[in-house]
Amino acid sequence: MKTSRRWFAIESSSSQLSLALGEGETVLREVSESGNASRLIEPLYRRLGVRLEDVDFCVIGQGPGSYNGLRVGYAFLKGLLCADEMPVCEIPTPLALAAQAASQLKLSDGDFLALNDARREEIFGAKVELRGGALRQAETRVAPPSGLEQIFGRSFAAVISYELKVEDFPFLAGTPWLCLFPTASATGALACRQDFSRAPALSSLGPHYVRVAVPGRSSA
Amino acid sequence: MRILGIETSCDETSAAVVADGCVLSSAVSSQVDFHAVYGGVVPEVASRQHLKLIDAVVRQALTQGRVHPRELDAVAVTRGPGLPSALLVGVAMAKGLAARYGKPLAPVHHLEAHLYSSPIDSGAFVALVVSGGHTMLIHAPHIGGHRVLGSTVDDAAGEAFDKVAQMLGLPYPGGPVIELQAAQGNPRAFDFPRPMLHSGDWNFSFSGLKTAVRRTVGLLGGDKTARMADLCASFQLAVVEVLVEKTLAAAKKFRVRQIAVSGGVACNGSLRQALEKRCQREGMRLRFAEKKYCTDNAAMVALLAERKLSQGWLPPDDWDIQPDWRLESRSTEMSI
Repeated sequence: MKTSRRWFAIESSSSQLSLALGEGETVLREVSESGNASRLIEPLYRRLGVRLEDVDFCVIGQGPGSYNGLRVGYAFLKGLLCADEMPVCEIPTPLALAAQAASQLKLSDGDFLALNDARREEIFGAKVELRGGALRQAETRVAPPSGLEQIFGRSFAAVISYELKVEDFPFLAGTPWLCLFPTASATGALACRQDFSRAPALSSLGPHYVRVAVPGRSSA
Repeated sequence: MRILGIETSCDETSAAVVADGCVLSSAVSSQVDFHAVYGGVVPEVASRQHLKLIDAVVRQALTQGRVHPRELDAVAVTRGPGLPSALLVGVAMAKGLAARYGKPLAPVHHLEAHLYSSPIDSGAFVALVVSGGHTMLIHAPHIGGHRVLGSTVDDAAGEAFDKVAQMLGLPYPGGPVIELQAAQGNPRAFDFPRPMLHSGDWNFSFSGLKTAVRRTVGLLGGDKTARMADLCASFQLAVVEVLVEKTLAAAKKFRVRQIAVSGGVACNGSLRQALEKRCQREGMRLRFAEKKYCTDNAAMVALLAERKLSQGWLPPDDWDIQPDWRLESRSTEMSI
């Protein structure tokens, strides 16, 4: 895939909704705002001033994160594309967060741990490896805070969380702790590095939910 | 005027295209099978299913209606009342579609759409909107102007059907299976209460009736299965009598000669027969929504939006879902 292709990206997994337009790894414009995604998404889209006719593919942050925020992002994109066959690329949100962290810390190697509150006294953790500038999501788990050290270890270039505090994770004391909201620009730029020439149908795309819909049931 | 409607307030994912009062296409994907295992609608399951299905359902409606989104005059969507996470999906989809093609977006009240889904003649009418989520009596001196007279203070009638079915070990949704069982039973076998029949207001209550059925089932013990048909018939008759009597009483009180009935429970054959009989006796016109438009559907959403837009309604610019949106009384006249 040519890196100069133009993309439109939505990141709606956190309380900060973000939309971006880019070309290759260059971000042309980005708009973001905190609040209710359902209310903000249409005005932000207008403010971004996208002409989807000029866009080659769309990108969506897959989460995990706010279920309703993710639903708004996906459903809005489905509405935009309901009469199109445009390719859509899903980017796991921890990857975008790690890309932002790597850029901020000017790193090309290292491991990152992205943490989210998974509710019910559990934490969602994702370990992302950065090797020679390439990112890979190595491990994702939902576990109580006390179980995280055993799962992920304690050696990280940085921990990223926009809603949790270092004080609640004593085993991570001394590790750089970054408060970063995932951005559509990082999400879109990451998509440019991926080959999704055989992109799945829009209908088959969906957010990363950290749990099944009904506890005790393996489906639905 | 060509309108695309979208409805995701509960457990039906639906889209429809209407033009000049006619339904060009209506796509409804029911989630009943997904919720049946839980005995009722699970909001998180409903929301996930809506998101999975919404684009395919909208595409189906557009294809069958032979219309490209560019050719639409507006997009209409249910804003509320309903399950928040379910409403979000339809509204976000509609906002995306309307934004892409620069179309006006019309937020529609789910109950108002049900209210006007019956083929009402001009003039005053009393409406019974009765479903799994709502039981409501409405007086409309003219089309477009309406006043809510009363509603359920606890369970909706359809909800009572579901819960009684569950306590009898019958599958979800309860309405059709209870009706089927009731057809074989004696409706006078058990003397269940007729809640709030003489309450002096226009409200309903079905929670006590449900409790009475539970008590009777407890007393029957092992005989419950043998008496299943009688239990269903007696319960159904109690619900039907309350709905029919209060609706007729409202029509008489407000001196109207037309009754409109809509909502999922309006599919119930026993309710239809009882209302037809009473309305015939009282010389009243009875208007049922077509059965396919009784349960939640987007055609009613699009039709109501078309009616309002064609009469100069300007939809608001900045709005969000309204899960607890009450059906307000309105005095504006709307022609048919």
